[in-house]
Amino acid sequence: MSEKIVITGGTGFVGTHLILELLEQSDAELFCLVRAKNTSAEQRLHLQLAQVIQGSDYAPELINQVKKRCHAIEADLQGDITSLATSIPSGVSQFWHCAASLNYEERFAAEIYDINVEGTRKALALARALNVDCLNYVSTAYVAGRNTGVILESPMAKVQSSNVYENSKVKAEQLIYAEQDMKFRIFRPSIVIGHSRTYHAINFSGMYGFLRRLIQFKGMMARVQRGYLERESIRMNVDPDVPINLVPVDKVAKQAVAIARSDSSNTIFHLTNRTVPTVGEALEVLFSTVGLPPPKIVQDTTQYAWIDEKFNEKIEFYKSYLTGYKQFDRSASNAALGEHANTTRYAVTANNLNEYCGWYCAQLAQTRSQVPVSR
Amino acid sequence: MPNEIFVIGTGRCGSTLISNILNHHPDVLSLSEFFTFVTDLGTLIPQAFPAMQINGAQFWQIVSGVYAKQNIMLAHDIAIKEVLYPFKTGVRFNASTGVPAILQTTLPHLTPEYDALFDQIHTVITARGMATAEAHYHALFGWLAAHFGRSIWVERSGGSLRVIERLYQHFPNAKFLHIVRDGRDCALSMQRHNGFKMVLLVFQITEILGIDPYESDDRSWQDDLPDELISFLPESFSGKDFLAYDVPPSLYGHYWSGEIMAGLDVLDRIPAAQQLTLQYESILTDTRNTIEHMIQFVSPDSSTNADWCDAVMSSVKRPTAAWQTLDAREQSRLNDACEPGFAALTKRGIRW
Repeated sequence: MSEKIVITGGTGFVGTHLILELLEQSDAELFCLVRAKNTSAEQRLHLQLAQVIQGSDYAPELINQVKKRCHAIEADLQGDITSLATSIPSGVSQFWHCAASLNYEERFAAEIYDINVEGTRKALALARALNVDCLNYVSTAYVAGRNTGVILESPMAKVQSSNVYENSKVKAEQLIYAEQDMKFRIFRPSIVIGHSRTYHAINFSGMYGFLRRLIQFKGMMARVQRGYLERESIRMNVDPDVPINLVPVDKVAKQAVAIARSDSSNTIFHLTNRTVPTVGEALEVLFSTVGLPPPKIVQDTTQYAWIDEKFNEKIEFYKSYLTGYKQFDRSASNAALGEHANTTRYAVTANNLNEYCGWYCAQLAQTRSQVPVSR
Repeated sequence: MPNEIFVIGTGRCGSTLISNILNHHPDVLSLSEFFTFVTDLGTLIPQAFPAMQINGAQFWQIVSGVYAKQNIMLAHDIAIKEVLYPFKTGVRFNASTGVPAILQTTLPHLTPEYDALFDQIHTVITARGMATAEAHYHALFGWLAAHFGRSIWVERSGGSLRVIERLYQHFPNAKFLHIVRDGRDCALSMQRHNGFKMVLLVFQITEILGIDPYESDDRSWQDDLPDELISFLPESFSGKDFLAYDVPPSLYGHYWSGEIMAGLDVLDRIPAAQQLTLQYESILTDTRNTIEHMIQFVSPDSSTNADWCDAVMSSVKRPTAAWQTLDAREQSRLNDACEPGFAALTKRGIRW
């Protein structure tokens, strides 16, 4: 009898890749808790997985495994999910909780906590009801908040979060630490970007959100004065020499599944990247992708003009990823992965970051083709 | 010589004064803020100049449209001060019904019988067949000029440098009277003007949502809107937040420079005989000579120019905006922001 696995967030960025990895790396039967939107939960799940297969380097035949082994169960983390225990066959070994809100604006705070914290509480209750062997939770490396230096793969006790999103993930992790009778693993990816070979992505927060805001700001300023931002560099008060930890989504999924299948007794794993660009290098690529000169790095914000202030306000959420030196310890991850821990395939450099950004800009250009002209 | 004239300039350059004094000239029909409202504050410029032929009824929809931005401003009592229609007391049209574009300022500027005139124009325009927008505009302005017994029409809309490309394209024989004013004073005055604040807010939201939120219900990218802009979506508009939203003069300084540079690019293509640039400050300091110069450009053959000059001299008043009242930091930022615009004007021999 094949292994049974339950997954939340299976239509999300990391969740889709995790499902595909689980299908590839095991013969498990997957029960995915999915919201129905305009289509049924099953249709939505299968369509999303088909899109990811097509956009990534999975074999096209994997879609047959999706249809055969991937079952959608209609569920909403903002509603009751504990009662779903009766709709899921017994004998579930692993529970993957990937569902999360990636919003960060204050106006979404209640929803963020509801999905990320209360949703985790409900996922834990369901996992207990299903009597699973292990709960795997996809968190973020940025539960580290404003901590700097070496960030260990250990529980976050006292931490100053940079925004409500980070804080919600800290609180969710704390719910999991408190579990006495259930084995758990917490996976902490850094800033997840597209597929390492195709650059394909389905979620456009994180780095893509920054890039989009840059495009929006450039458009707004072009309406104010055509060519202004091409002549005048935006000023930013960031740390250009610190690394910005970008990790391809396929690395996150492959390593999470490999770790879950290892015999590691550790509980917290950083799914971060070893070769990453510096903030200065990354910003130069991002700005260049949208046709702007690199930002002018200033030592303090008193050097900002109003336009700089406005731009920096719009990307405030990203500031915590652009300042403060963080070195993510990967001892537990590397030990679990053994010889597979390091591979150059996933290196993100100034050179290939350009490809990730270019891919997204091409996608975005299609959705922005109807932006009204200004004259 | 053509009897079609556009007064063009950046926002708050003093062109309203030109409209008001020209309105007293017996040969001139002064069309005030026509394109301001027909383009919904300059945010629907392409829609006001459709490329294909349209019939009279479709053209009437353009000029008499009840547009979202200008009317949400009426509804929230933050209307721009150029609106002359009594939208608070109007029985036929008011803040609740919305006021048609041509009735906001243009027709009340011409006659106290603006509602009746509106109906007359409706009859005339909707009877027209298929034609280009250019032909319809000529017909409308020509009919109005004849109706009021004037031989020349002068259209003036605040911030019309933004639309000059379209105007020149559709009225290639028109004359263009370009009013320029110290960008720092323009910027300060724009900062105090609700219309320009609305335009800058719409610029921001449009770029974030990828659509004009007043023309489309698509909110696919609404999560990208920062909290501070939510109050300016039509479905959640707050007049109080609008008044509290602060934009510094320097941003309007950048806007002024941008409008000057883009506008001069078009003016450079217009034959010299079809254009005249006047400095607003000259109207204040050398009033007689400047307005004589202007009326010679507008109506060179009129025998009533001297009498008109005598009559309107006293209408010329100094404005209140003075950029020197800003603090040193904002003055410096404003100087920097206006520098590209000043540089472009200096190349044309215009200095302050």
